[in-house]
Amino acid sequence: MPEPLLEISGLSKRFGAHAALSDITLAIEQGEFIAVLGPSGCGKTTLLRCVAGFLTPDAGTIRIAGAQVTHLPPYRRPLNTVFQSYALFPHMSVAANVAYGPRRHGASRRDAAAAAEEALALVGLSGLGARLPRELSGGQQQRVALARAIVNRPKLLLLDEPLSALDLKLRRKVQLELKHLQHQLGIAFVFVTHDQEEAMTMADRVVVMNGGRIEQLGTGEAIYRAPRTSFVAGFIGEANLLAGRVRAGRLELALGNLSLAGLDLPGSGAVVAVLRPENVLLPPAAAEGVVTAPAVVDDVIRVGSHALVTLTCGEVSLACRVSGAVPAHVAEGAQLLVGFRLRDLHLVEA
Amino acid sequence: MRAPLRKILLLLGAAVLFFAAFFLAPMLVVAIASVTDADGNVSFASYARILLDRYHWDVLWTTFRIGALTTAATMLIGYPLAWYLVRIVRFAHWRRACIIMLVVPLFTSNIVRSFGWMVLLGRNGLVNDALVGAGLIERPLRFLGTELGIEIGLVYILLPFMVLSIGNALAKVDPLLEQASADLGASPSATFRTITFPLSLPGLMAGTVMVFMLAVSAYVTPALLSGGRITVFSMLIFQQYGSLFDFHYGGALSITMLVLTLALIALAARIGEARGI
Amino acid sequence: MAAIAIRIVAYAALAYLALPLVVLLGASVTATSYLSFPPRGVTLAWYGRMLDDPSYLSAFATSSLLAAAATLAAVLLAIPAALAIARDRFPGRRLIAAILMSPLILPHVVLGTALLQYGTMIGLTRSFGALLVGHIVIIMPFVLRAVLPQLNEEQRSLEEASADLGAGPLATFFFVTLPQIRSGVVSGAMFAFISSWINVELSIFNTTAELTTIPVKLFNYVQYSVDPIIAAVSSITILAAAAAIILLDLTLGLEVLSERR
Repeated sequence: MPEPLLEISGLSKRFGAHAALSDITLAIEQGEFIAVLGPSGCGKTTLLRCVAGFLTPDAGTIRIAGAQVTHLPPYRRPLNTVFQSYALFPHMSVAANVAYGPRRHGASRRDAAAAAEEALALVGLSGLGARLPRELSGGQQQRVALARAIVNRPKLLLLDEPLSALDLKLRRKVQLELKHLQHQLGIAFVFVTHDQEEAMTMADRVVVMNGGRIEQLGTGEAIYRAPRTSFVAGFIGEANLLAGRVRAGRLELALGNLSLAGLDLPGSGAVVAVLRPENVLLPPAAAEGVVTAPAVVDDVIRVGSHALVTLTCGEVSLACRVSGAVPAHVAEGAQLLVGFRLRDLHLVEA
Repeated sequence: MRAPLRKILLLLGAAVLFFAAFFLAPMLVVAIASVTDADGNVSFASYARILLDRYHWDVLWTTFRIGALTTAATMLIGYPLAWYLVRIVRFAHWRRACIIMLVVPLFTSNIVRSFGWMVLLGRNGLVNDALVGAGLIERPLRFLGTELGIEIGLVYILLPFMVLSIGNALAKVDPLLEQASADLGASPSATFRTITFPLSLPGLMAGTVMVFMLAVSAYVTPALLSGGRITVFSMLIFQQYGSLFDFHYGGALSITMLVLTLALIALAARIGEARGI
Repeated sequence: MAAIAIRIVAYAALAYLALPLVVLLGASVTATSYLSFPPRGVTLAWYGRMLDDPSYLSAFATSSLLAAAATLAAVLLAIPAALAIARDRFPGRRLIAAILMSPLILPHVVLGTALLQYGTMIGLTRSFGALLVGHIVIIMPFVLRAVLPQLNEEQRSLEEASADLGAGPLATFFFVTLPQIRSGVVSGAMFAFISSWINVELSIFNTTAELTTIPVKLFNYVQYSVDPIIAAVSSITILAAAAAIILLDLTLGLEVLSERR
């Protein structure tokens, strides 16, 4: 098993009384596409800056390709960063920006220029080398920032929310191109974002962070299916979070006061049952392993291809996702039965 | 959008009239005087005098030399001081105190500041005392009445302008750009050389032009520190109006200084444009 | 290391900046009858001499009155001019703005001598009025420069909101515009006042034995004799300048000091 490309171990960083990072441990393999996902203030940018070398952690180590870099200044680390605001040098042409890295590493003017041209071609900006950054559109500037970072062929590329300034359509297009480029170049990408859809579509593995800690690390699908904490369950996709207790081998839910057996239950105590809206059945099929409960429809929102139905079941509010057309009897105020399969319930600690 | 002419006239009227009467008109009078002679005929004799007179070339050259050396000195002292204030000082109160120390001289009259240097640079002044006391010289040096003395005084007066101009430009340099530079492999000195310094250049150049302009047109400081031995351009102008009352020659000198000033400003504007800033 | 060299230059430069002012403050209290620094003995006698001398008191009064009158006139001229320049597009707008701002960059000696010559022609010399007009010309740009940036897009939409709510132009000006440009007016006026107070090159052509300003009085005195009373007078101006800066910092913050001159 080859050693990991990036190994972060026990990393912690405080700003005054605020713990921005608490005991972060993470390993990233060569050529992987990792997304670091979390809400604002969760520490993802702090983590990135520690890896890049702009911040010194209070504790912990960072190793790249086996070598300790924790206290090395940024210009000695074998990685490159794409900044959220691109940080293109305004007084230099696009080509000079991209050639900057090679020049600082001792390449001749000619070699650096050739490498720059190659990198610009890779990101689809051939021929724009003579322009100044401010003459380019946002999307083009983003590509220049990317070209500038990859021209050095680093093993590791850090990207700090690089697509956040782009409009939706452009963002989708660039996401695909980035993924393709990453594959083509074989560079490991560490991609910070707060957009979970972006993380799930692009990454091989997703790191979910909250409050300076890693909540969960895994493939997008694994995180969606089996969130380990209620934060992850709520942050990724839509979810119904049902409070409950495990008592004497049964799961008690406030939802219509149900008592369920036959589940893989942790010992005892307070739990949260995660139920995805698409797994709320309306109407419920009468079958084994399907639980039903009476509910009242609060609201129906039709969004073209599907509809979101909000119901009150007992004391609890449920969101239900219905594909296609919604049956006519499902209207505001209607009283009906809803259900779910037991096996679609996923339990996490409260 | 054309606003009603009447409203504009009403708002601008007073200022424009005042300036026409007490700024443009006097300048016009001077310009006319510069191209007429004592009998009222059109004559370029005054300008010819400036161009042909050896003495004036000497004065011009002296003025220019003092101006250039003063400007160079303010650049060399001003950049490090600006860097210190913007980049090195961490304690906000100390920075404020430093800026106060920088600006208080600006709010004091030229005469007061120049007088301070008259006291310091005299034969028995603090500077000579210190030099003799440190064993660097045996007998007091003469500073008053030398170009060096004038330059010391002018640098003192003009340093704050340079520091503020450079400081402003330095403060505007996006720290992210320097981080990007480091990220791409540039050592701190390479980052300064290729990123920070070029980006501070507009402030440095604006400061340079301003200091040079003020240095070549300065009157009070050179007048007081020249000890009667050195003449600069503004003193020449002053003589024509204050004692010799030759308004034609004085006019020609004034217009010449004016043209020089405007040329410097135009040059600065061109350079600013060429850099795309 | 470079950082150490920079610190050394910076400390030396700061000392250089403080030196003449400290020397004057020190020399003003010397007990000797000649200028000496460090002072030998400490006494406030020179300040006493200054206060006893009616010509100094009158010069202080003239300087202050002149600066106050010139500043008031400058503010009254600059505010409407700024309103017109900032908001309306009319032919010659840029030229007029440039002309109104030009005294900032033109040599004072040239302006002073021009006003002298012009003044002799129209009989306006060696009077408070003659001093006043020159000062107004050179200080008005300070107010203009400070107020213009505050009349921006944001300001315009506030004025439109005010009009929309039923306020006429005068009401809008007093209740909406004026409060917004207040800090520009204050900082501009402060720079204007000080520039007028410390001016030599313009005042010198229109002063007489009875009507003179402190800077001109000092300038004339210093050419003939040098004694500690000059240090005392200078020290007063230095302390006043320090007080003005600190006041400016406490009320408006030092960023306003990144203005030139």
